[in-house]
Amino acid sequence: MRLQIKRLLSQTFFLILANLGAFKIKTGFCYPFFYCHGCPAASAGCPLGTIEHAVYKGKLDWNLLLYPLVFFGVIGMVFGRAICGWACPIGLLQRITYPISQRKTIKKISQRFAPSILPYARYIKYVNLVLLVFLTTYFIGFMFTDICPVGFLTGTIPILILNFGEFTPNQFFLVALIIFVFFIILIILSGRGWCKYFCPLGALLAPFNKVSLLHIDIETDKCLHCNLCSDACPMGIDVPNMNRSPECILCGKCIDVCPQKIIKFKVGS
Amino acid sequence: MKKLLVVQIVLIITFSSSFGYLFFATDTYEHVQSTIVSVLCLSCIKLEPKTVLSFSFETANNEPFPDFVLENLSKGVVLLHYRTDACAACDQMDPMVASLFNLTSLEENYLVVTSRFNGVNVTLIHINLDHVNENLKRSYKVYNILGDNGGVPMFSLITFGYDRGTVKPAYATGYGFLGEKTPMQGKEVLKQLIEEGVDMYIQNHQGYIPSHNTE
Repeated sequence: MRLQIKRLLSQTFFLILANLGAFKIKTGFCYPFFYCHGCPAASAGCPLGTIEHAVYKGKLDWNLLLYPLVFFGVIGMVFGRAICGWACPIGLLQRITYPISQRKTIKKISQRFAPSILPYARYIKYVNLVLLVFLTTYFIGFMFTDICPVGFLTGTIPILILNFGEFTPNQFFLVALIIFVFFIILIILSGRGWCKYFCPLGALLAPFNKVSLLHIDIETDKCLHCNLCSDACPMGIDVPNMNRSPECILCGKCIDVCPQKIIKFKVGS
Repeated sequence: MKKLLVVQIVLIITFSSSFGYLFFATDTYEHVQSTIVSVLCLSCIKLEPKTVLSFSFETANNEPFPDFVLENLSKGVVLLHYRTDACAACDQMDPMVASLFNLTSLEENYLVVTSRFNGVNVTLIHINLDHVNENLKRSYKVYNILGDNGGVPMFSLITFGYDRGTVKPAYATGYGFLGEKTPMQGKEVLKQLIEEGVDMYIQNHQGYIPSHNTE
């Protein structure tokens, strides 16, 4: 079976797993990916939401704080950011929008409006994680949760559809709606734009790529420098020189296109 | 290579054992399951449930009224106020509730306070679902008329009502700012609800026969 079909099956499987709450299965685990526990069918807790609960307004609940963090530690140590590429439902959504972002007209638009600081924009996700998830919640109260576009997509919209007329917007609804619209524009204009620039969970998992058991291995001495792998990479990585890049989501697209077949998944050090 | 392997082994053992400890030796799993996953996070969905504050006799999950509620109901009207630790709307409504009961704040995880409205005792039972026993946690489901679509803050006013020739405990449940745009407006709705509950109590409590009624 082709790698990308296996990946699609894996993403579909995790999407179903994330929605087992529809069958009244509500666990006390945290999702290893981005999904909102406000979703009517949620089967686990949002890891970011759990962190926010743990540090909310200076109340430090260490058990609750460490619970998602060490869980991500285990997952990250084994799989690295493969979770983003193989399990995350938001990754699946971006997989669907990725072909649109690759159309010539869309590429023209995104290149025209891309700011010159774009190469540095990938650090925004780390700022989001530290500032919006930890610090703001600790010192002020919810911030990320109130404006989270993933919460809007997987929580707000399904609830509004399933319970038409039974809910009323709160004071953050409009801001969250605007951010959600930007989120949609982002993932259409920039393939994997959310993962690359904004996802706080991507930021949490990214450092594990440096030490994870599963990683991409390249026999660089046999490389033809055709650059097909880098062109195929949805995260915009210079693949032959990536050396366990924190940005790599282990989607395997580079493996598929390499004419020399020198790019492989490897387990170990 | 060997150095990386050592780092990998050490980190995997550290993370796995820490997670194992949190999972098996603490109640963190149950805590996440019973509050974060099971109580709808209204901040997450940026919405508030619209509820019409009307009194009913049948509980949300068909369980009987809890004993601690009936016990307090014998002395007057009961206002149950549920919240969780991390809840923005609760933080905004807490001072409103506190001011209705002449309190400076509601920082306790569990608080029972009685105040008088129009000559009738009204007992506020403030419950932080993250820190109370199972009995009190279960009471949330008894009055959570919206089930999975409910959330916190949740208010349930319990009084006596007249149902087909019998006086029974009756309750009305509301959420968030009680359908209003601001906490201050929510406070006014809560005050009106308490006054309505007090009137119903005055009209009906003498006809209540406890043995006839636990549901």
